[in-house]
Amino acid sequence: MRCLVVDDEDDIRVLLRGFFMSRGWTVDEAASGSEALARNAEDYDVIVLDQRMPGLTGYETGVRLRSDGFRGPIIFYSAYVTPELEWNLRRNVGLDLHIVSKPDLDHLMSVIERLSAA
Amino acid sequence: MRTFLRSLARSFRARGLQGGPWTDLLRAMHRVRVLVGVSALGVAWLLPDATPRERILFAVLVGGFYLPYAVTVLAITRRRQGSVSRIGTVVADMLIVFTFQAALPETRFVGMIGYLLIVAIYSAIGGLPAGATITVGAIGLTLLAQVVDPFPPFVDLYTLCMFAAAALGLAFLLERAGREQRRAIHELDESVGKLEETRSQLEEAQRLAHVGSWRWDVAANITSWSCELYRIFGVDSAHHQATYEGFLQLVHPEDREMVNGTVRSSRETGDPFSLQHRIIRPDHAVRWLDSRGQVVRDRRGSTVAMVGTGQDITERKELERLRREFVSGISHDVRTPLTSIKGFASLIRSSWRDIGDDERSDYLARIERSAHELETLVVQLLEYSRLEAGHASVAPGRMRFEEWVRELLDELAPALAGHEVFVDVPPGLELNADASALRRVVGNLVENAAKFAPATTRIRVEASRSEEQTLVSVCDEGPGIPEGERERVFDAFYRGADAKTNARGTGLGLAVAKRYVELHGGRIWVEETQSGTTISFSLPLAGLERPGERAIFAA
Repeated sequence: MRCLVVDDEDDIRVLLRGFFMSRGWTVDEAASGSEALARNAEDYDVIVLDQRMPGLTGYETGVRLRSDGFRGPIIFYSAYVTPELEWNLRRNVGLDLHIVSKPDLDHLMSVIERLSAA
Repeated sequence: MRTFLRSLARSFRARGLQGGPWTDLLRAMHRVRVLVGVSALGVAWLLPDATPRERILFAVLVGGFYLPYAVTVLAITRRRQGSVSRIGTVVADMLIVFTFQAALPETRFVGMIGYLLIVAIYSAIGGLPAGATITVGAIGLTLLAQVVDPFPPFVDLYTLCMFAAAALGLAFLLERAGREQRRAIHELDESVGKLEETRSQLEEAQRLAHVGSWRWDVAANITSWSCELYRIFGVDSAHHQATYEGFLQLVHPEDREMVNGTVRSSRETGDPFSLQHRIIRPDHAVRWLDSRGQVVRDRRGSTVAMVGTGQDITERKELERLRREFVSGISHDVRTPLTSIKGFASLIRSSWRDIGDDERSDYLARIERSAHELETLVVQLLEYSRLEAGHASVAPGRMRFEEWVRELLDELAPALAGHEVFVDVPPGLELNADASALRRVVGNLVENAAKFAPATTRIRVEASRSEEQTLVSVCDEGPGIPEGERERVFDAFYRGADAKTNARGTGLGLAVAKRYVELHGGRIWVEETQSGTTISFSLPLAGLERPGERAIFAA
C-alpha cells in the first residue's frame, strides 16, 4: 500500500510514517495541503490529512482531492471535530472517509488494520 | 389662602364624621339638644315680658327647625352607625345658642361660653373646616340678630365678645391650619427628598452593576424601563417603542424565538424565568444579556404585569469565551507533545527489531523534545499565574544590552533555527532592567517572531535611547498582525482570530512580556508597519539617573 501523510507537524509525520512502515506500507509526506495537491493523488492508496494546518486546512485539501478525482480512502484527523465540520466532511469529502480524533492512535491503528486487510 | 378656601369648600360637601367615640359624643350632644329644644319651647311660652311676635318666632325657630333636625339626626345615626352631618349640627347648635340669647338676654354670657365650647369641640373633632364653619355661622347669626325685628339694633359688650371670640377662633384655626399645612409640606418635602435619594441610589447601583429593571403592563402592553436598561440597550427613551414587541425587535434574531417562548410560558405558568440571550443595539453592537422576570398578580390572582431585570453580561461572556479558548488551546498544546511521546514510545516498543539505531535515537530525541515542550508549558503557566496574582516583583539594575542580548540569542539558537537574527544596538548602551524578567520579555518576542515568520526570513533586535527611556524593538518579516488585533495580542490566551494558525504556544508569551514590562514602569505595543511585525517596548531610565544607584553599582 502507498500512503500520503499530510501534516505540518514534523513529529506527527515521522510518527505516522513509522507506524505505516511497520505495517509494510510505503509512505510519502507532505507538510501542507498545497504540497499534497502538487503530487499525483492517483499514486496513493490512502491519504491521511490533518485538519489544523496553515494555508489550506485538511478539509479544504480533502475537498480538492475529491474534485481532482481521488476516490481512495481518506483518513482525516483533528483534535476537535465539531459537528459542523463532520457534517461538511461527510457531505463534501464523503465516500471512503475515516475520521479519527488526533491523539487517538489506537483508533488510527484499527482503521489502518481494516484498510490493510481489505 | 386658596388652600384654606378649598378645604372649607370640601367641608361643606363632606357627608360627615364616620364612627368612633366622637360619633358617640355627638349623638349624646344631640340627645341633650332635644331636651334643651323642648325646654326652650316651654321657656319661650312662659317668658313673662315677651310679645306674641317674639313667642311665635321662638316657636318657629325651635319647634319648626331645631327639634325635627335633632330628632332626625338621632334616628339616622342610630340606623347607620353614625354619620353626623357636620354643617347641620353646627347650624343647629348656633340656633339654640341664638335662641337662648334672644329670649333671655341675661343668658347671653352663658350663651357666649357655650358658643366658645362648641367652637372648641368642633375644632377638636373636625379640625379647621368645622371650626371655620361655626365661626362663619356665628358671625352671620350675630349680624342677623342685629337687623331682625323684634330685636332692636344694639351693639353691646356681648356682641363685641361674639365677634372677638369668632375672630380669635378663626385666627386660632387659621394658625393651626397653617402650621399643619407647613408641617405636611415639610414632611412631603422630606419624603420626596428621601424618595429621590433612594431613586438615585437605585440608579447608581444599577449603573455600577450593569443591571437595568423593567415592568411590562401586560393588558395595556406598555413597558417601562429604568435608565440603566435604556443604556444597556443603547436606545433613547424618546425614540423607543415602549411595548413588548419594541423589546423583541432589539433581541438578536437568532435568539428572538427562544426569548419570546420563554417569556410567554412564564406568563402562562407563573413561574419565574431566567435566560441569557443576545441583543443588537441600534449601532449594530451585539451585547449579551441575562434576563430574569416574573409575573405580578392582583388580589384575585390574575396576571397584571411582569417585572424583571436585565443585566449586561457581555464582559463575562467574553471572559468565558477566552477561558474556553484557553482550555482548548492548552489541551491542544498538551495533547500534541503527549501524542508524540506516547506514539514514539509505542512505535519503538512495537518495532524494536525492525528499526535501525538511527531511527531509534531520532524517536527518543523527539520524545525528549516533547517532554521539554510540556515542561515549558507548565513553567509558563505557573509564571503567568504568579504575575497575574501580583506575586512577582522585579529588581531592575544596570546592564549592558548588546552583550546581554547576544548571549540570550546564543541560548535561544535552537529555537531560532532557520532564521537570521540581526542585532542593531548602539555600542555600550545601558538599560535599567531586571535581567531575568527582561530575558522573558525579549526571549518571548524573539521566539514568537521565529514561530510566526517563515523560515529563512530575518529577525531584527533594535534598541535606542532617549532622555528618559530605552526603546527596544523586535521586528520580523512574518505575515504581520491585522490592525484590529494589535491591542488584543497582549491579552492572555489570545491566539489570533485566524483559527487556521497552527502555532504551538499558550497564548501567554506576550501577556507575560507585557506584565514584566509594566512591572518596570514601561509600556509595550505593536508598531504600525506596512509588512511584518514589530513589537516595541520602553523601559524608563529613572533608576540609572540616580547617583545613589550608580554608587552601589560601582561598589
